[in-house]
Amino acid sequence: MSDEECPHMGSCEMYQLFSFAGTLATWKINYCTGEYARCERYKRASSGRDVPVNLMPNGALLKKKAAGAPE
Amino acid sequence: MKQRAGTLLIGLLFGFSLSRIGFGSWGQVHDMFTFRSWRLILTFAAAIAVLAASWAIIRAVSNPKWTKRKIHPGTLIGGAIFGVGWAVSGACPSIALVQLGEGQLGAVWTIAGLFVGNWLYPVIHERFFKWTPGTCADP
Amino acid sequence: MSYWPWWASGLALAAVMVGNWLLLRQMMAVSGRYTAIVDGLRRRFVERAHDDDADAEMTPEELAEAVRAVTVQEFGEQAIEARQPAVPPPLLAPRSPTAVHTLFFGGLLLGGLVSSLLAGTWAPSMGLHGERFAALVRHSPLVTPLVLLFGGMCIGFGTRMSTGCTSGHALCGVSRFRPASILATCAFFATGVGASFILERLL
Repeated sequence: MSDEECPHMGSCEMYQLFSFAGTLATWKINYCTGEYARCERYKRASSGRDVPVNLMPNGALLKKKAAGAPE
Repeated sequence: MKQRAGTLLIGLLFGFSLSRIGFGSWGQVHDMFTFRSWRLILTFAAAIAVLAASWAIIRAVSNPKWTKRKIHPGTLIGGAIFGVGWAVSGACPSIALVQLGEGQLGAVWTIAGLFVGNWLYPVIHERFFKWTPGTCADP
Repeated sequence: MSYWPWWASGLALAAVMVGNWLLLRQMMAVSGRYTAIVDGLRRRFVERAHDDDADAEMTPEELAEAVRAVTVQEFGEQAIEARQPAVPPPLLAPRSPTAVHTLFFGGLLLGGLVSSLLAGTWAPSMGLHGERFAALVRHSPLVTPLVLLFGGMCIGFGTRMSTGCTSGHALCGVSRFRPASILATCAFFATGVGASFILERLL
């Protein structure tokens, strides 16, 4: 798969977060380069829908209780 | 809290200004679009000029984070559709509310249509449009 | 009402835009507020999502913990670095709740109300004020809602499609020389003019 970067990178709030710590680079590698079309944020934005600010690329939502990904 | 008070205040000042400028009048807007009167066109020009200077100063003094917006097919087509709506109803998203405040109760229909149109867009986009608006930030 | 002259009008609009930035650190974007309300409703009633934007409001520690949990769930424990960064991560700014957007709309409405009351031009009308609009809708209380609904739908659909309206594109966008805004503004002025000349024939 090509190493094309997600075109939404520049304005994505999650991307800012992922650029922050080494741990989070995993997300960048898996979702922001190459197969960025499987990122939930990209999918929603591309279809004109809103993107919750705490939506992770795999569809999980970041929540205070940190109980993991709700369904 | 401060955000709410500030938002209300700005809304108030904006609404008041739009009313006094004459944007709430269907006739005034029509005159603008048919070039019978240049007052509103000059208003835009003046506002844009002052704003250009203001943003330049703000950019020089602080480091504002302004999101970039890319051009996509929706930019042109959406703009074109909006223009038709403006000509027909005399309103834009803010003016419709100002009209309502002025007693022009027909604006209720304009606002209802606004919400319906806005609701419809992602439905249509998902079905028929292939491009991406280029951002996952606030539309 | 005797309207403000063009230079005072222009100045007032600019002042409101700049004031909005200085006070709220936001670029004026009115169509976006409609979008936020619509999407909030869609999320609540169509997708039955029970999450809240309040969930996104976290302290740095809560955010770090939330991210850690989701990262482990997706990639496993080995994805987590042992060493934690010294500086807290950038916070996710939650989007404004519907209440804030409603306040803005309320402000617009109040502004129109106060202005017209002070000018003595407030008058209830089932349609819009003025002879020209009345002529357009043939003085008919049946045609009025149809025309305005259609107009409103064009506005709602078109502004969401181009991600902006007059304040966002024509004022804040063009004054910052943004190509997308310049294009959108040219587009809606062009069709605004075109449509108006066509409507002229119907008046």
